[in-house]
Amino acid sequence: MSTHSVSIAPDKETRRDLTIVQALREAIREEMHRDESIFVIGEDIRIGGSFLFTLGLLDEFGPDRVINTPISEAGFVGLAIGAAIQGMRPVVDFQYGDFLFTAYDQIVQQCTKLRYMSGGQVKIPLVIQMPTGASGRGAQHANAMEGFFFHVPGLKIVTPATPYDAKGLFKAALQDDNPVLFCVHKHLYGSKGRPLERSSLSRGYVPEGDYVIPLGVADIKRPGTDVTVVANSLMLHRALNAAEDLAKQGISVEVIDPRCLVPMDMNTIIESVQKTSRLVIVEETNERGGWGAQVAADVAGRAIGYLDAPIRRVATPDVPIPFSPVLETAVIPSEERIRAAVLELMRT
Amino acid sequence: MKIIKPNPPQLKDLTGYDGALLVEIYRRMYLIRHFEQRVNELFLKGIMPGTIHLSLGQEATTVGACLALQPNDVITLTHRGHGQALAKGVKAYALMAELFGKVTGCCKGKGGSLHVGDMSVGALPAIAIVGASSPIAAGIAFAFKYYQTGQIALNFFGEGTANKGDWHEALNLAAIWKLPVVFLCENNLYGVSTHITDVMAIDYVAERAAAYGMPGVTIYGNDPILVYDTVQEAAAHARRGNGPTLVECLTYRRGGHKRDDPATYRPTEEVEIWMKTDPIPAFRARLEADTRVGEAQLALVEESVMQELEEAVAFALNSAEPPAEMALEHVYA
Amino acid sequence: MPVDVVVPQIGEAISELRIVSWLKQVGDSVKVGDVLFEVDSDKAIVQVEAFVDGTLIEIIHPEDSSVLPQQVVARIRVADETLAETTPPAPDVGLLSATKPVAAGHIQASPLAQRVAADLGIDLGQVTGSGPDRRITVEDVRQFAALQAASPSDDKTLRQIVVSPKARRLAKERGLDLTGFVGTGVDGMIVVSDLEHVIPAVELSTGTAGTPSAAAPLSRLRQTIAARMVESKQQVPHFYLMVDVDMTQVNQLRLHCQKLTDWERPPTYTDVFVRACALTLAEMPSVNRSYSTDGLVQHEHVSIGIAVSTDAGLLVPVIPNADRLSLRHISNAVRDVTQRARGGRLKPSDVGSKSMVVSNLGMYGIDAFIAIIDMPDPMILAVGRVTDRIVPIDRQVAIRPVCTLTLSVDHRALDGAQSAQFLQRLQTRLEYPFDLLGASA
Repeated sequence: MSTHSVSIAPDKETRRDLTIVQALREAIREEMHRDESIFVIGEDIRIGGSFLFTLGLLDEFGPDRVINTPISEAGFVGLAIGAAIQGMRPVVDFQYGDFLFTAYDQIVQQCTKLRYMSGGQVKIPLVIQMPTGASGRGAQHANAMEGFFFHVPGLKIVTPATPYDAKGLFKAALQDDNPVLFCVHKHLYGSKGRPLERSSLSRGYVPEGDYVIPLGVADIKRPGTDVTVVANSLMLHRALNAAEDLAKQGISVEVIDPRCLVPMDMNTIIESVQKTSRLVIVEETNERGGWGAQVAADVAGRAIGYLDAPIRRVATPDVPIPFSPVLETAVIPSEERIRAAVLELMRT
Repeated sequence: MKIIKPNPPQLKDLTGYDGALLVEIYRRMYLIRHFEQRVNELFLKGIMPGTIHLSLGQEATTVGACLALQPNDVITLTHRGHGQALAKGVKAYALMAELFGKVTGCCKGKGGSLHVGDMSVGALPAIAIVGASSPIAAGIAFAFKYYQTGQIALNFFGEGTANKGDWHEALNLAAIWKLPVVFLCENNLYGVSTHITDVMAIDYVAERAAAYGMPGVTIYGNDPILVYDTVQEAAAHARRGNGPTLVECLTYRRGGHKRDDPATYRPTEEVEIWMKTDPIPAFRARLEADTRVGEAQLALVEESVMQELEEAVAFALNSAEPPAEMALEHVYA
Repeated sequence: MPVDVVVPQIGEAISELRIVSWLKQVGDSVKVGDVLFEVDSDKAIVQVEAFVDGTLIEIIHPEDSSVLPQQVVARIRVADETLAETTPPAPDVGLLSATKPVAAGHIQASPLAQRVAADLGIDLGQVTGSGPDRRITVEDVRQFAALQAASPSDDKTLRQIVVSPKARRLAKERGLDLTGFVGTGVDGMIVVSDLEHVIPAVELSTGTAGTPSAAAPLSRLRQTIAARMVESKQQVPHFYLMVDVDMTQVNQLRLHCQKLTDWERPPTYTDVFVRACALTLAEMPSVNRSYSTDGLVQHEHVSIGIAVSTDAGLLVPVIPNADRLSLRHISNAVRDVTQRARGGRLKPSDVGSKSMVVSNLGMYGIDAFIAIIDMPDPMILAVGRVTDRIVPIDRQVAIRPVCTLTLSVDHRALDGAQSAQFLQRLQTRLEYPFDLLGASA
């Protein structure tokens, strides 16, 4: 079922506009108060980690539940797995999601397989909070992490783009009994008070208190009729900006934020394509095997009779991410490339 | 490569040990030995699918260690896990059925030989990636410590694992946080075909304990009583909140790395000398001399083990295969 | 020398036509019968075919151009023509300009007809002239050429046509032949909007449940139909004549034809009415004329239009020279042109001036109806269903199959007596159909 992201905001005076990192902090605090089996573990947590997600947690919950680790990603991810097996609910905080590669074996071979191989004897409720995407720091700190795990069975991948979504989805992740990779784009945290990417939704109203957004439900961030654009994370904001621009040219773009890549809400996307007959997918993952390729294959497989144009993906080319700012801009999908893709499909 | 010779210590007097415990030690070792031999046979006959890594010859280490633990302590197993599973209390019929991939197996046929285990007896289904289980064992211990349950975790691994990154990270984490875990090294001198002295600049794995600030000890692993004592001490150390211990047990494989490995890479001198140290007849001899046990009881135990094995094989062969839909289950909780 | 591609004469009116689309591009090779372009005559979209083999070397008027009939819009280099670097070919009868007379012997043909025949490589001796003194007109030449042309759709397979999945699906659902459509989508694929002139716009939109129903924009065709109906109602002083026809003999005739081996199926009532009207008109030239502001225009030939309902709207293709065609030929022609109309593949020869229209709603169970004249025709015949009725015969009650005919007449062109005479003769012909079959039945 598709939902339109309507957060009913109170009066302007009482309105709280939060950044994503503020929303996440609220979520983790509320959950840690509610459930004492949740603990947070990672490097440099005591100073808040890289994007200040854990700021203040040590003071509030103490060193037994907020644990600073050595530089031992495989070690503490494995340790979190063991703790989860034994009934705890660890949150592993990564300074940069890119460092998860050193624990790739633990995720792929143990974390996502032990339940299966044991015939269901164990469950591993584990959340990994990981900054993802290119951010001007060179190739090794620029990976679109969701791409590297999209293929792995047994886990879930969440990529929120807005503060409202981030809080509700994070709570869902913390309450899920399965391994969840919670990927927030490095430019969207807003750790300095505002996010580095701007669109109409990059900062937004976040209700106080408890609300959960179920994993696997997409959100139509902007309804439209001429073309469906599916975009997540940072790309969602670029797609929204492009859509606003295209509206001035009389093109009505429907922008869908999948919010969760695994499981993915294909029904919302397909309903949309049936309405518009055109599909553009915008992703920061690579051309070859990016998550958009799966969406394209699913739509072609299930709704080809509704397509009036080829499916277009706007993705990062198959290259490591270059440092020089002009080069990074050239490879990461831009508003311009999104507009061009839409215009190409609209040409009749 | 350096020949490492067995160095059995003086045999300890058994009077301080409960008679039933002694019999149980023997029973489990005997069970493992014959279970593995039976599995070998079935594999040779082409009836058993998959691949198998037999723990023939290492029974004393495994059994001594497991019986030193409390039933609710948790162990992590290796790819050579049949013996570890049986030693911890996994039922032979459930294990046999698992090896045949039947739905009645301890893991419903989803894991196979490399992933046997049963959480109800504290055996986490085995992790075949060498080194990967060490941080997980540390994590299980972390939970025990967090909740102050008094349980400990025991991490089985081979000597080759001590060169793996995950292992080092795990030992460090366990040491800095004083996690209640025993790192138990079954040093059978070979990682597949590679002798340990060729891949370590030191002689014994336990020497690395000092690097992490934890106690370490190397013992002769074919004396189950010695292993039992050592592990009990390490467990107590952990239960008192003093953190991990690295216990290294020297032993030897009676057979190749896996089923179809003739192990011709082992020098004759070494093989000969170690083959003389078979732990099972050695322990049997000690028990025969013990008045509380005696020959008759041992014969009874042996007979009942063989009976149990026959029933296990029959059970496994007659059990149903898992239904096809089960391939899609147990992915998510 | 290259051959000119001209805009055909569609109908008698010399009015501006719009080139809707070019189906061939410069450089494409063309074969006789290939559709080159489509032109919109406000009555229908007509496909114009190539009458030579060759290569399209020049497009003078691109899509959306307004053009006049006879206007040269493109050029084709004929296939076996040698290139200019060799000595230019000797002037040939087939490559003459319009000013040079054709040594055609005793055959009478208008200069334009000669030129077009020369361009198309047609032997005038084979063409039947429909003008006065059997003079060959341009229409005659074109018709002849059209009949010669191989049907384009037989050779092409749908697979070779690049079309979007949605357009393909819609086309299949409606039995639409996509040959000849020009695609304007990505990579030149045919997209749904390219089908618009055949599938009404309202069927193309797929609204989701809950969206408010909006007025669907009219296709160009429907706009045209609407405008012309209004014009006819406003401008033509209609009067109506009705007669009931005893169809017993016609039914016998149909049964007779069914037994004949060279009839695939018996003639339809429409076929019969077309033939009957044509013969009657041929006998009564004074009724075969239309009103125009310049005066009464006498039709030179007898052509009957038939009303065909299609998904796109009402189309009225024409059977030219219906008085010269046997009933069997008319039957074939009616079937062919109906299929072409429904498939959006009308040819220039299908659309033109006509003497009258036959509109048959009998198959829908309609007893009788009154039709609106299709300007500038003088008449339209509305045919109801053939059904058993009680009729007095020699003062006895009898049951006969009867059909009610309603003739709508333009009072500016014809008066009551003339039209009544026509209708009476038509009735007689139908009740005593001795000459309905025609020569080669």
